[in-house]
Amino acid sequence: MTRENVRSPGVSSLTRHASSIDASSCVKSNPTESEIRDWCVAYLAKSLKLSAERIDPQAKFARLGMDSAASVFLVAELEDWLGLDLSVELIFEHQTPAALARYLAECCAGQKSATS
Amino acid sequence: MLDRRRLPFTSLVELLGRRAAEQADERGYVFLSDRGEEEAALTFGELQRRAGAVATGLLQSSNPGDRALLLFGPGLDFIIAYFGCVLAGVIPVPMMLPRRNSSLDSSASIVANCTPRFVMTNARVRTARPDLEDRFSRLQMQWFTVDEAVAPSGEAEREMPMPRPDDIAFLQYTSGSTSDPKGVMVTHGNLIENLEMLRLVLGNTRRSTYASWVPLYHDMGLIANVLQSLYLGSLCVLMAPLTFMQRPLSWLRAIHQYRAELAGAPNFAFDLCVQRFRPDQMQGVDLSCWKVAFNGAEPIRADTIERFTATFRPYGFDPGAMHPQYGMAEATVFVSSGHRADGTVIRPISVDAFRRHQIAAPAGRDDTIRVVGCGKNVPGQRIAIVDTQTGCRLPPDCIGEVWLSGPHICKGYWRNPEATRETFEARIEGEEDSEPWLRTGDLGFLDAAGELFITGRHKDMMIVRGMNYYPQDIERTVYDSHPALRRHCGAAFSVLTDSGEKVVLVQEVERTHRRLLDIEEIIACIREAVANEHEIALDTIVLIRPGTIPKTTSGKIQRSLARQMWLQNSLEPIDVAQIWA
Repeated sequence: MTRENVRSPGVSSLTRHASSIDASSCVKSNPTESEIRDWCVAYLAKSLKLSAERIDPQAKFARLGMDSAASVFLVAELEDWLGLDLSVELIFEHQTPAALARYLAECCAGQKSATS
Repeated sequence: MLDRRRLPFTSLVELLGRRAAEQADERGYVFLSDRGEEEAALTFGELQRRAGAVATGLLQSSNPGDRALLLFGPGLDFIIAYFGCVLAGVIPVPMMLPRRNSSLDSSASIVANCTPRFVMTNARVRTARPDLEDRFSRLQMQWFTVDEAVAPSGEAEREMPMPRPDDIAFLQYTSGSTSDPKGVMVTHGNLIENLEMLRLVLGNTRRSTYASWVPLYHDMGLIANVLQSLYLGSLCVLMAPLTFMQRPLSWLRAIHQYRAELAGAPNFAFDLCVQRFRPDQMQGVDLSCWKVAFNGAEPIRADTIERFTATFRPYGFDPGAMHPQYGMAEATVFVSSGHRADGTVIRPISVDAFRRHQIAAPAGRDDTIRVVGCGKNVPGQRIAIVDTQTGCRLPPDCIGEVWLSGPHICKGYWRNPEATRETFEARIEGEEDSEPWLRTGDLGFLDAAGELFITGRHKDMMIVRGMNYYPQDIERTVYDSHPALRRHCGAAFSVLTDSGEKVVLVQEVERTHRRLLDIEEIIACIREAVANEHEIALDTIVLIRPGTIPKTTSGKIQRSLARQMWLQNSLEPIDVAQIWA
């Protein structure tokens, strides 16, 4: 239902700054939970122009002032990086970088076991 | 007022009736899932039937002219509800779904202004958003779930009222701040006139398929796509705004797949397509069908047009298809555009002259900025450029406020005679006999050939991603977000950057708090509150000492001066949190 919440669809420079972190061509395989968490923190730090130490992986995305657009861009970048199809509702269900990483690591592991 | 010889319909009711009679089994609307698959479709006949069922339900407990809030997510139910209201003589009021964490005020002030009898929604929204019922529970409104409305079987259909051209078709709340919402009264006559203007200028036909992701509570999404395609009797392919945001190229794939002739969006959308361009996702996509890529609802950038054209030309995109447009809710939606295949007028002008509100050829490379033309005037409309100081009409190549008149200019604001007088009933100095003019609040100029250029804004309004924001709303949210922030001592304003309009906030902190401030905590509170209440990510927050925000002698915040000080670096921040700058 969060998809119905978008007030102002649009671009934030979140994507612009962060897209250089990882090109879509190099899909990350079998990332661990901590790798995903670090990636999220690095992405947010880069887009927010903060040092990574200032981003608490346990703090909610909302504290960073992310609107729906910014959340969607984070999901879109994660899709590219992990090579997974992700729902934009992820960020509303897993509201911190740590929670999101835990969930995604399980997804990646599940996908691996399903294909092997 | 409405010229029957020239216009084929007098109202939306007549328009829908004609489509349902002549093209009953043709598909009018398709809604695509986030995977690009057809999730729902409506023929013109089905739309008439389902809207008729809604209207029958409404007529049982409504009086003509009652208002109904439309609270929908993306999908076709909005269209059924909208026409259900129109058929029943009830005035629909499209509204964005309030964000879950937001407080009551943004929706509450609209509700207070238009006093709706009904809240219309669908089963999906009711299930997923039980908070909405709590939100509106104190108000005496009747809930109406459109997908539960069933068409009357066998029994004689109720007599539906036939609206006159001057009757209000719907209210559009895109103007006005939270404290002073302005519902533009759009009449049936306004709509038919404006739909005809669009058709003429863009050269549209029954084969002019549309592909759009722009939300339907936005005038561009509703009128310039959904109603224009109905007017033509063509297909309109819709997708959710978030689908576009997550996978912008899916919009281009839909254009290809349905051979859409027309698809448009605010400027940022074209940038987003370029930013997220992936050759592997564009394989087999042929955009040569796309005749009119309309770009409107926010400032249009020459760089955007050039980047988009360069990126997608290899996929058949015609550079002449890019059509910058200008429009606003007060003029129904559409004001100006280049004619089909005219292409874009990009004019280099002198920065130095521009600062003096004059237009001149640049003196050199460093003196050059490029402005994008929004097309020429359309038949039936008059455009005047007016000096805001003297109220007199200005000649070509002079910057002034854009004023408009014509049959598509709306009646005024719902229950707001003062604002209506101020905005809709302006007179040009020295032309007292003329009709009343609409003051747009936008600044611009006409060139000698009649091309309209928009260069700025007379009022404080900000436009981010095609949505209008008022600084006082954001300022109020900010000072309520933390006790260290001084009330009525902040300024929100926007600055144009390479990636569109960005919002900067300057705010004073209380003297008593200054030594004990947890700056990071304050900034996090501000950001969180503004994102929750307004769905907007602040670009930059500047906290300043008490008494340093520029104010007039009567105590009003001087936003344009604060903006100028910020641009010149002459504010003294106690801390600058420069986020995504």
